Amino acid sequence: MRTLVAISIILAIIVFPGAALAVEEATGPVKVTVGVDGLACPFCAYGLEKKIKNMEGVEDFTIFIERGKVEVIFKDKKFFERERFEQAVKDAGFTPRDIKVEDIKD
Amino acid sequence: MKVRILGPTFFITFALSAPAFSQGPPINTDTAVISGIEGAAFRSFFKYTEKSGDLGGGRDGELSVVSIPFILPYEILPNKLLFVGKIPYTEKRRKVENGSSTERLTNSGFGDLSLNLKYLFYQKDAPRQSTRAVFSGGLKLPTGEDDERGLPPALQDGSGSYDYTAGFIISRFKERTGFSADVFYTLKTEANDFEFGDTLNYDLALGYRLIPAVYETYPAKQLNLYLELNGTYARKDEAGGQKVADSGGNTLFLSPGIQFIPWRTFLVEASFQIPVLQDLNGDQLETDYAVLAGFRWLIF
Repeated sequence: MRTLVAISIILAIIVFPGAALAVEEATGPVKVTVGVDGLACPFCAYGLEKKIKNMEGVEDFTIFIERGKVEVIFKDKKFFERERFEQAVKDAGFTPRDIKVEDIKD
Repeated sequence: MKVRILGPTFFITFALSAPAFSQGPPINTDTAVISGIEGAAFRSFFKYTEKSGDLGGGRDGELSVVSIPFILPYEILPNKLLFVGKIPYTEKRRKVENGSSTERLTNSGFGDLSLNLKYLFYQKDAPRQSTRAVFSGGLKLPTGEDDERGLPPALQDGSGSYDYTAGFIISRFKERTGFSADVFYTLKTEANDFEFGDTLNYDLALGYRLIPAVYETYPAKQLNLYLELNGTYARKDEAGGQKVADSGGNTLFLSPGIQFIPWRTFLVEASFQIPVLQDLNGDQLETDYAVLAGFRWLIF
C-alpha cells in the first residue's frame, strides 16, 4: 500500500510538474506601493506608465500625482524584484523611495 | 531703442520670489526635463512673425515670415541623453517701398537641418518637486537652399553655413508651478562670402497649472498657463569681410501662452509674443508681433 502511494506521488510529479512547482512557489498577488520623488510633471509620467506596463506580471497600476505615490498590482509575488522595480522608476526619470509590499488576500 | 519695461520687471520679480513648479514643458523656452519621452516624440507648430520699419533713405519695409518646424526628440539613454532633430519649413514675404516704387520678394522651402544633444547632469527630486539641469550642444547643417538668385541672405531658405550651438537649461517644478531658464550661444560661420552674426539666446519661463487644482490621479486633462521672456542678442553680420552696419542688436519678447493636455501622449499649445525691448543697430525692420500655435505627440 505504501509503495503504491509513493509510486502514485512520483507519477503525479512527473506527469504534472507545474502543479508540483505551483504548490511550492505560488504566493499570490501583491500590491507594491512606492513613493516617487520628482513626480511633478504629469506629461512626463507617460514614461513611468510605459516602464511599469512593460514589467512582467503587472496586473494593474495607479499613479497618484498629488500623493507622489505609485501602486502596482503584481499577479504573483514571484514577479516582483525590488532592484528591477527601482531601476524602472529611475529609468523613467524619477527617484523611488519607501517601497512597501503587501499580500492581497482574496 | 524701444523699451517697455513694466512687463519684464514684474515677471522677473514674480519668478524669483515664487516657489517653483509643475505642469508641462514651456512653449518658447527649452526644458531640462528630458524624461517621459520613452522612445520618440514629435513636435510641430505654425509661427507667424510680422516686422515693419524705416529702412532709411526714404524706404519703408514690411516682412512676414511663416515658420513650421518639424522637431523629433529621441531618447538615447533613459532620462540621461536625448537627441533632437529639427528642420523648418519657411515662407518669407518682403515688401520695400521707396517713393513710388515697390519691390516684393517671396521665398519658401525647407531650411537647414539642426542636430542637437541634451545631457542631464543634475537632478534633485523630492515629493512633488524636482530641479534639473541640462547641457545642450548641437550643429546646424547647410541643407537648405542658400543661393537662390536675387534674394538677400536673410530671405534664403538656408544660410549655407555650419553653425555650432551650446548652452544650459535649468528647470524647477513643484506642485502647480514650474520655472525654466535657458541660455544658448550660437557660433556662425561664413558661406557665400557672408556671415550672419553670432547670437546669444536667453529665455525665462514661468508656468502655472490652472486645471486641475489638485492633480489626484494620472492621467487627467490639464490646462497650463505660461508667461515667458524670450531674448536674442545678435552680433553684426559680415559681408565680404566688412561689418554690416544695419544688422545685429537685442530683442526681448514677452510671451504669454496657453497649453492644453487632453490625454497622456498629446498636447496643444499657443503663444503670442510682444516685443518689449528692441535695440537694433542702424536701420532695420522691427518685430511687430509673433504668434504660435502647435502640438506635441509622444509617439512610442
